[in-house]
Amino acid sequence: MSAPETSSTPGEPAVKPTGLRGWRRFRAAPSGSIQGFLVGGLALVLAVIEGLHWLVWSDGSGASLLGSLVRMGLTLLVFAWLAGRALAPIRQLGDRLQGQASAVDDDASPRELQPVTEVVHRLLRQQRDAVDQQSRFLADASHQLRTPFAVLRTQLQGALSGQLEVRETLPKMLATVDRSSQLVRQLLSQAKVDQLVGNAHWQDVDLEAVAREVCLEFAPLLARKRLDFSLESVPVNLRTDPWLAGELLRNLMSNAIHHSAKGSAMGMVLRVLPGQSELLVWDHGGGIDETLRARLFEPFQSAAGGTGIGLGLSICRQIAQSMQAEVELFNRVQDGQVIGVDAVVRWPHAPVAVAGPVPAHPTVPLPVAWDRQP
Amino acid sequence: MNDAVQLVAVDKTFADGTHALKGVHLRFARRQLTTLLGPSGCGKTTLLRLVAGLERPSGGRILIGGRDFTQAGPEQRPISMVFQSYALFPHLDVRQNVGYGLRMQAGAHRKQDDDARVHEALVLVGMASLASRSTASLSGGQQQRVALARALVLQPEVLLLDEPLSNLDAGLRRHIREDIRSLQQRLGLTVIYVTHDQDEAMAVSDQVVVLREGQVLQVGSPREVYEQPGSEFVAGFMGDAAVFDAEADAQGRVHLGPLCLASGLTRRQGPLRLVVRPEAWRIAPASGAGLAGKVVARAFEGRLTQYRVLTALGELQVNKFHELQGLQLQAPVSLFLDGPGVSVLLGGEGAAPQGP
Repeated sequence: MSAPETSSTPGEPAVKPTGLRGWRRFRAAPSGSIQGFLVGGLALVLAVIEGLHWLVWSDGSGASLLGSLVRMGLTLLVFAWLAGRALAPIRQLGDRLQGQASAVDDDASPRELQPVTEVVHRLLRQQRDAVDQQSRFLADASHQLRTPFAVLRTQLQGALSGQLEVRETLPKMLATVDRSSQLVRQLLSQAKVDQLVGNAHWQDVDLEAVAREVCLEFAPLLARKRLDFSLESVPVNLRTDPWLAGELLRNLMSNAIHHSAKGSAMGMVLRVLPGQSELLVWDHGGGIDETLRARLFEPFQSAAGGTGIGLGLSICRQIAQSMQAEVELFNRVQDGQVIGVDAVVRWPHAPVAVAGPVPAHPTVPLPVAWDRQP
Repeated sequence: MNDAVQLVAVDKTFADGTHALKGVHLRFARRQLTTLLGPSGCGKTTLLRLVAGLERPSGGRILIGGRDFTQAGPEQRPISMVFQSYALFPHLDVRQNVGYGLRMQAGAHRKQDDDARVHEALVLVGMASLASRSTASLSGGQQQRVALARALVLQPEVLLLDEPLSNLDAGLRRHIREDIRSLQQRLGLTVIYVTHDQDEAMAVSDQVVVLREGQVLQVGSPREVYEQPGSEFVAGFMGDAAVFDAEADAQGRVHLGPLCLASGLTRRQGPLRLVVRPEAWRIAPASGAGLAGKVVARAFEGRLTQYRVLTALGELQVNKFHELQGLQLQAPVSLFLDGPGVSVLLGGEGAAPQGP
């Protein structure tokens, strides 16, 4: 099977600078001096023209020179006034932006500057969203970190005071410590992902090799749970960051192992569909509830009855988005029964034309109410 | 002679130049229900009217019970016909409508015998209790039963039914078609039944004749015509089907994309056309085997769930019956073809003509 075509290099800024070129050049001049520069330049040109005019055409009398100087002065005054009027909207916009950094009133801004206003709006919105997301994450993270410490403290106090059996309490404390270290590990991973997503090293990556490597890394864990693991793959080359791709697979593998019962089957499949490459990690754990499905990718959300921290899938989605890929969870269905979960990552290719079968429909087919994803 | 009706090279050209039937050879076996199936304008009703004697053929011969009736009028033929529009007399009651045909028959009749036969025919179609009702006060289904009784009372050698259910609603249509089939089997009638509805044809027939543009494309049992269509047209007309270009190897295995179908489908080696019914696909959990796909649309229809699955072979329709837990949209799957519902087209379009 041939390697799929990869998409263009991701990581381009969301806002294209094309519409701002004029604005940037304009801003490159010292702020506030543009009007003086224009007026001064014009005065110089007019002076040269008038001087030449006087030398060539004048009769040598002072009256002619005086007239020219008066005309030149008047022209300069009119031009200075016009330049001031023309540049006023930009000054107004600057004043307004300085006054209220959170929002610019679209209706109040001059029509000529609408495109600039829209771009500023978008940038402000993105910035605000990013800050909100960070605040939410910090709040959640600090809450999640505080809880196990509080539990540990209670357990420790109980054991010290003799209210709790030390022999029973210590294993519980060990579990709490394990959970906390997993949380810290995921938080660190999240922080690293945050950092790397912005500074990804895009290169051609052999995804099959990455998948094999990750599977080998997980071999001890797979063996410990005696999981019947299989890797089925075809060669797939993608333009992406190898660390991010590996981190994504590690998270999905870790999640699947976590949800698999001892001795059950689990696997990874890398295959090609029309227009996309697909990697899926499947397990024979329980299915996922339809209502929970979308929320599972939000930070600190874990499946019902799950003991995970709920950061793994959130990290997966963040990585996938940074690679212009999609990650989703589906129930794995066999003969009408849910037998587990498919965690699927799909990378789009450049569009490929698919030659379909010839539908043998000489009659008009009955209308079918198809349920399709928009 | 086992054939109730035989058509030998029957040709029909109308005055306006329409060539409605082109050298049709057909045999209708005794005590069998044969359906003439095809789209509008395929010549199925013309063929029925030729058998009834309502039209004369431009060429060829029509034999009924082994005797040549090609030039005989309708009243001379041992045949009854039930029309799509019922053609009941509105001024006569049910009993009189059914008895009308008997009174028109040549020869002396005893009124008591006629009354007994009318009653018998009405009992057969379950209308005895409404014998004295005016036909105008009857429902569509009841009027169709009266028309059927009027045809049966003549005890014809062959009963012709011209789209008998097309004016009835879906629920009643199913009910009456079951009645017609049961009556035909109980009385051992020879029936020629015209319809454009393939489900109806498959439900009631012993034999199906698929017509197109005045020619017979295929003759066979409903199962044969559905599972072994002779052409792409028949494949599509008898239900949803997709046709693929595939390749057979020396061992008789058929290769379709990444799929390798078990031998037994064909003995020819080389390229071929493969017909696949939507229910032939087996949907399995996604793996490296089979045809990789993802669900892009689904339609739940009670006992049946239809899926559209995007694969390297295109967007395929896959039907699953009695699904307990449906697949989610965008779900990854693998498709396999390892059961029935797959056939190889032997000829091209218009293949499988039937000899006399």
